[in-house]
Amino acid sequence: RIYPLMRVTLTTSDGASVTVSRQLTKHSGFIEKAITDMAVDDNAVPLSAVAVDVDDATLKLVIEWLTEHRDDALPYPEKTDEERRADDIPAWDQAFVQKWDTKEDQQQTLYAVITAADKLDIKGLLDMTCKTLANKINGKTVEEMREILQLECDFTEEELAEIRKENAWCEN
Amino acid sequence: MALNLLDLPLELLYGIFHSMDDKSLHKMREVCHITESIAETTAINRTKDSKSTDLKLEQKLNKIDVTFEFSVGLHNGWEGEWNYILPVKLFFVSVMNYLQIADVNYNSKGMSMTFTRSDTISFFNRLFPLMGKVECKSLMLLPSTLEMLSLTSKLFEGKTVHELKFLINNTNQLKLERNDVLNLIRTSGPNVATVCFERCFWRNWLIQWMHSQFLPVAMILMCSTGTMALCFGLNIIPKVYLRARTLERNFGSRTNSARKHTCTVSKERQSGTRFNVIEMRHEEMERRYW
Repeated sequence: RIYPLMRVTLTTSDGASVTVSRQLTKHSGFIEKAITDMAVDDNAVPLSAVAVDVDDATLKLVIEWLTEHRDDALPYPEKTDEERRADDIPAWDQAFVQKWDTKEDQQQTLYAVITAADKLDIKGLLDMTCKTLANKINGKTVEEMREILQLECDFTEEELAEIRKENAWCEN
Repeated sequence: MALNLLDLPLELLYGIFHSMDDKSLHKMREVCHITESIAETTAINRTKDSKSTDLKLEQKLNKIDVTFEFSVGLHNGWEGEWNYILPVKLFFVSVMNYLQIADVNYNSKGMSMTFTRSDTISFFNRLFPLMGKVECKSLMLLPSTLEMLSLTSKLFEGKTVHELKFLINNTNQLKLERNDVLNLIRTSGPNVATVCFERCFWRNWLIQWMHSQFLPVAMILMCSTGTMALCFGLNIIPKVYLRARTLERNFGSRTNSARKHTCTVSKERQSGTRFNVIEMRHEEMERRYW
């Protein structure tokens, strides 16, 4: 049984400490495991000490999402590949992510939250952020994709021509 | 440090790619090499459940060859003994070819064996209990293979493409457990995985064993077998054996009877008298005629 009043102190990689309700951390498989298996003292989980590199700003975003989703059912339902859809993001989550668009390093924030959700094992947040990134790519041209993902083309002309030939149906 | 897509763990990349629509997924093939291979693998997995594509996929997977190159006898200290080891190598190559375990190519630089995937698994299942750990000289895998590996092998679990590349490119002493290698073979993806073993058991175990045990034993066996074959071939043993048996049957104890017989005959010839010398004892002959 998890008591709402129980609190957990999380220490981030940049030294900041954030105390949150255990009701929120129950969504994080990593923190729950750290508390139960690793027998941390006083429910204090130093994230940097257990190879989870999450900074203060990212952790605050994670906690904001957890606060909104504190009553979500657990365990998070596993979805098959066929059930995986990018267009079923709840309205609150969409608004939550859109807030980052005002930031200059919006893409970096998204990557940081995805990484944090992965390392802290928060499946709901991970699923939502991955879908958000997929939505950003969906429907874009190849050049736009490269720009969004900040990737450089490393194909030779011949290789690119071959792939374009195979992908000709995508242009229709 | 600025992050980009490829800094994310591969499992996440697969999650992101799975959330894309078909057209965008295929367009991702044009972005760069890594996104190409992830998109291809995702597309294969996406259609895997479809029965119509099962056969194609299975056929594609069955064609995968895994090439292992064993640098037998080429490391320091063995080059001078190339000729000495030659019979061992020829023996090994012939056994491998006879058992049809692998397509073995043998040349002056060493030996390379090409296994099909199922052959390789059964082969290593038999040999790995003897090997323990394998030290890998170099591990050359194509990107899509790496991604497949990252999903199945604990060795590569949670690594990003960059980390995997670093791991693969910067280690000459990558130690692989048996299961890692088997996973590597099983999940080698739609590409060829080439693994070069340098300091594996071929040097540490098999060759040294052959060098120290096999050759002397083989030489002794060959010499003794050859001698026996020669003797029987020239009919030496049967002649000696039969002659001894005939003499024994006629005269009892071979040496004494033969000597007495010779003596008797000699004296009979000297005396010119005809006797049944075979039945006659030496003492009686002396008493009667001398």
